[in-house]
Amino acid sequence: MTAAARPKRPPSPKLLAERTAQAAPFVQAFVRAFEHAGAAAAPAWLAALRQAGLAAFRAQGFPTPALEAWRFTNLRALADAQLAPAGDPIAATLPPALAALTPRATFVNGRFAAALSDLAGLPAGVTLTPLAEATARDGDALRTRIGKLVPAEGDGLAALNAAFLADGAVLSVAAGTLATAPLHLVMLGTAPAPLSFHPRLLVSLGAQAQATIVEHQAGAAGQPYLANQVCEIDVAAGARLAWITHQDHAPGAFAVARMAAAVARDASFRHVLLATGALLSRHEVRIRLDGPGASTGIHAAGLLRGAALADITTAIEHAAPHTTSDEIVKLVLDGRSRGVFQGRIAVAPGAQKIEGYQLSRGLLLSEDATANLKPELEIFADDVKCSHGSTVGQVDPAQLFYLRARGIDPTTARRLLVEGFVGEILEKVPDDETRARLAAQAAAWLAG
Amino acid sequence: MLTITGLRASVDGKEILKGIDLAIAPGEVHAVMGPNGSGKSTLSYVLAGRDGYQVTGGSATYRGKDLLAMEPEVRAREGVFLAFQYPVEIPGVSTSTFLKEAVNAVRRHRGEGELDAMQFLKLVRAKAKALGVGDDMLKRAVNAGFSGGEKKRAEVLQMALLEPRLAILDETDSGLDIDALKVVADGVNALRGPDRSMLVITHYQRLLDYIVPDRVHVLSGGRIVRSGGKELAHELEAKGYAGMGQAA
Ligand SMILES: Nc1ncnc2c1ncn2[C@@H]1O[C@H](COP(=O)(O)OP(=O)(O)O)[C@@H](O)[C@H]1O
Ligand SMILES: [Mg+2]
Repeated sequence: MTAAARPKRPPSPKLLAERTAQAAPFVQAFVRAFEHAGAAAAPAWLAALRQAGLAAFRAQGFPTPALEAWRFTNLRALADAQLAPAGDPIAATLPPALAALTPRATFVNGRFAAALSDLAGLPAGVTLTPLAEATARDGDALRTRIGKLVPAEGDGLAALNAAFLADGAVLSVAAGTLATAPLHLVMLGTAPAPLSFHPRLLVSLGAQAQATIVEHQAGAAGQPYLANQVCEIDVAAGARLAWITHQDHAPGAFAVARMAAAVARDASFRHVLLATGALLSRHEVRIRLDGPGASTGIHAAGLLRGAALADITTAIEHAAPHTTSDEIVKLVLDGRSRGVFQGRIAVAPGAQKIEGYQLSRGLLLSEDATANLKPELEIFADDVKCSHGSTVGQVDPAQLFYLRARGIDPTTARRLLVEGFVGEILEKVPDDETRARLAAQAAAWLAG
Repeated sequence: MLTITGLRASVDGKEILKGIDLAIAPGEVHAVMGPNGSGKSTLSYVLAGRDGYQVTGGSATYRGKDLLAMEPEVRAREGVFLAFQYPVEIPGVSTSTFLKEAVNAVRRHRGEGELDAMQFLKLVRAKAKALGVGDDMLKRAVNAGFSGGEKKRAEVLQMALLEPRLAILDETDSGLDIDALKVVADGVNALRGPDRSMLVITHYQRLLDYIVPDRVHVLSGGRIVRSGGKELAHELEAKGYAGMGQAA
């Protein structure tokens, strides 16, 4: 199956004007915050990178539904909220469920929080350096990595992240290191006043290294905030990275996460997402399979109710022959919620012997909920095995009857069926403890 | 146990059951035989309470109560069990989770205490072993990717766990080889007793060599066209359904 790419048209003057209008309050807020923080303290390359990010954001503004990639997700409410960047670090406490997890790096409003972290048990070969520390020390090594996989150019939110770049993490797993016990990253949002934060994670696995990262995006109820995170990941030859994310931001939050991975020959990157939080979220994953034998898996579940919107957008690029990808995305939609999935699989010319599988399913629990599922295949090679499927429906009456015919009441039966629907995603979590915890969190959401 | 009188039912406005009369006393096993499309599964679904099957006339009384007025889950808790001709696959829901929910729902209804995880495991393992069902099947999702024989065995395992008073077996024999058939029949026979009744629906006489019925009914065109003793099954085998006379 081949679907041609939409030609990129230059934005119309009207669109540009609208973007600039949207961007203006944010930009002003940033400039004030930037001046307040004493930008002079930053090394020149970083200041330049931020300025470039700011310029790119000025040109782009927030994405609008006029852009194909944002057709179903309108950020108007976010643009209107004028969420100024977080200033000085704010004291916070860890959610109790996360406090026992080690090794653990905690970030509060995007800033590394040493007091809430416990990195004593970090295995040999694994280093985690707060980005603020790394940029002050190690400019030359970082300047080429920041934005390499997620450039600010042409991407308003990535530009915003670059413009506000302050902290995050540089996480490195040395070649040959086997660190399959989970390393926990806690990305905590806390907003006594409306604010935004823009952490950046730079992750690299050396050749043949293995690691499991469990990321907990969480937030305390309070004022609205924007978590605008960028994560750039290099997986070297033969390395294996499993990255599990639970997006559990505060119910009023805007959560944007951009994750991009370059996966080398014989390496693998597997990602599992459970999204239960935020008012509006966009989880965007871009994976490039760069060498033969590279593989990736994306398994994502979004659970939504009320007026929430969750957008899961993925792009898998089979840039080399003999690469494989498998992807399942499931959205459980209650209330007036909207679930969006856009899944692009691109196979480069000459990239033969590709296997790609994609399935997206929306489960509507209410008549007012909406699912927009958009698979997109762009295949420019002929010897490939790519399949995709997409369905939206309600709880299957035959399954419901089968459970009821065994004495199970309809409420419990529905809950079991929805848990089962999500279970197909969570069973992909490689770590038993993490899988059990996510299953419990999904069950709690369903019971709530 | 069960008295069905003049039962008529339609699917999508099309009448399938055209007046069924059937009475099963406690402890009795009745067989219903009939050609494909005669309404056997429709009868079983109507008795189990599936949506979309409109009862347009007649009644079904189960242990003195109006069966047709009960919700499907209440029928199950009251002791009616349907072994599905086509057990439904439920990906993502593990068989053991499902069975535990079902067993405890029925136990609550009967005023028995719920089983905890350990007690349940012990029970289910014992019953599964007797039916040649491996532990691995309990971990798998309900019927998902099961072979035809595994599905039928799983149905009988559910029946053994729920200990129904009235078991309706809808072509539980179809798709089974002779060894599997014997295992299933042994499982069914183990449940026979003075307080339990069974309605064994089958297309073939073969099963009735192993589960010997007290009465045999021939269903054709939505009506019972003949009833008799167990010898009727052999007569059917010899003459075929055509020899039974069609519904008027
Ligand atoms: N869901 C349905 N919708 C429409 N017709 C049906 C449905 N289920 C059964 N029927 C029809 O009802 C008749 C009886 O079917 P069924 O009860 O399955 O027969 P049996 O189990 O004896 O083979 C058949 O003519 C069949 O086509
Ligand atoms: Mg049938």
